[in-house]
Amino acid sequence: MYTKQFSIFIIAIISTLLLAIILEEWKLYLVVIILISELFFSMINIPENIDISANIEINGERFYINDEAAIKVLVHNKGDTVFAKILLNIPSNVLAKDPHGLITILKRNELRKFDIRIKFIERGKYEIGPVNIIVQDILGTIIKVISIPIIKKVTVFPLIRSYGILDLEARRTGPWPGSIISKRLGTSMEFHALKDYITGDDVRKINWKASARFRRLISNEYESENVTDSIIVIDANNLTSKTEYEKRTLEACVSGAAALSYELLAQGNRVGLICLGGMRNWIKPGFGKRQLLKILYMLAEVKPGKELPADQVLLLLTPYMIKSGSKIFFISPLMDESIIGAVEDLIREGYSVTVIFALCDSSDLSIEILNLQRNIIKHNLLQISNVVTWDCETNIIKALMMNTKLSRRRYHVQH
Amino acid sequence: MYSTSKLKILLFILSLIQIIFWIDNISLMLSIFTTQALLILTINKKYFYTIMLILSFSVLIYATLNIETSILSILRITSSYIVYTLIIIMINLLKEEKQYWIDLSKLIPKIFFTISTIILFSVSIILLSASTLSIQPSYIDTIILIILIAIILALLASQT
Repeated sequence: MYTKQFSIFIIAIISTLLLAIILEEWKLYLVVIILISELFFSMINIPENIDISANIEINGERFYINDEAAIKVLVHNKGDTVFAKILLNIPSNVLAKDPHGLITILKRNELRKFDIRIKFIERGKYEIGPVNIIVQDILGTIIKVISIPIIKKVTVFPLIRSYGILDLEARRTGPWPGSIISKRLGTSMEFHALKDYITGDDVRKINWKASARFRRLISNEYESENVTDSIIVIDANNLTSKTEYEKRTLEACVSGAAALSYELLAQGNRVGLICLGGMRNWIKPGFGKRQLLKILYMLAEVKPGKELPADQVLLLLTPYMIKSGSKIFFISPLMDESIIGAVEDLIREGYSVTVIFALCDSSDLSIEILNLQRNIIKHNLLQISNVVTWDCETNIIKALMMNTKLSRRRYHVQH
Repeated sequence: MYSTSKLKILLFILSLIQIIFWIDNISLMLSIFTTQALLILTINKKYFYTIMLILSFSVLIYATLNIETSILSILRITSSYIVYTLIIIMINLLKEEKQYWIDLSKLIPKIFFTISTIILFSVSIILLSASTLSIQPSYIDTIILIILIAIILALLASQT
């Protein structure tokens, strides 16, 4: 393939030649000789037998935002010696710490490698590659482009900012031991009731004061601590990626969902995920690290947009995913009014819903106007469910814990 | 290994050497020197090498038009030719400098080999032409000369 330089050379040769003929200046022909000889020697430098292979090595397949990846590009030249530009294609939203190409001379049978460091600044799924090799002459007049179709896939997860143990209350608990106090009898530290001591009961559970009062042995009964089923709904409906504010809000929601699922799974609960927005998807509740990985993979792909209203999706999915009485965390920037209908439906079905209203700071007037609309939605939601206003700059777990403490204090004052 | 600064220093030194050969033409020497100094002081990567290329090509044309059968004349043509070719190579290397590592330890021998081959070939033809065609030739003579050069190039191309 001829380049722009080649055309410039040809134009320069023809114009100098014409000038020499018009001006009848024989010395200008010498300039033509210079240009022709340059072009000629440059062109004969392109080898016929080009056989180059390449490989990419990356120090992992899973990264978190702000992680750095070390990429090693290995190039093997099995053909003639070439002057080559080797370029590794990297996505535009990745920060390249080093140049991602190499200009070098590759000798026959030479194995060449070079390192590149990249930093992931956005979550998502990335494709690193292919490797493009541009074989050319030293003046750059003719090029041959070889694309080696080697692609490595990498997933970048949102940041997980853990804060502390989340103190949850749930109407429905599972049979497995956990950290949520249930109404069943068990071995936790929470007092449930008094009962007559029967042979075989733990001596340490005898309530001596009550025994003295009733003049027979009385022992304490304690509540059990179990796990619960929960679903995190991430609402990217009506969000776009056009403004910085919306991008920041979506990233905060995703990061919050990651932290919350990590915390809930760490306590032994079953956690599921429903994504609303441009990428509609869901995961059934499950335990453990593998479930966290599944959730993180899905969170990496959350996109803004609106395909279906929240109420339609949730009414269809939730009965299939969890039983009535389970916990639903609705992380939303309250951009979409259909959330009110969705929460109403879920509460009617017997679920315990907590709406986490993601609110990011902004001094923009348009955002302040938008916040008025969002506050109306929040006000409507407060009539039917528990709403936690979460400042996106703070930790979501901290916001939930503060809300739990406040509601308990309110409960004690009322009773 | 991965820096073009060496190549830039080399270009600067060669540009200075090129100026020295114009010692008998002080006004031209000063004008080239001033332009180059100004270009280097107000360096802008996008335009710097293009302006340098135009300047060096102009110097090369001027040196060729004023060709004489003297050592100084040969040195002028050769030095301006080297600077001109080096600038073309540097434009090719530096236009994507941020994207690429540049393996100069391997490239410099190749650059010198290319430049010396081109220069040896064309300067010898220029000198040969200058000595044989010291009188103004006719159209037929020039056409014959061009055809001869084309034949030589074609023969060389078939050989390689």
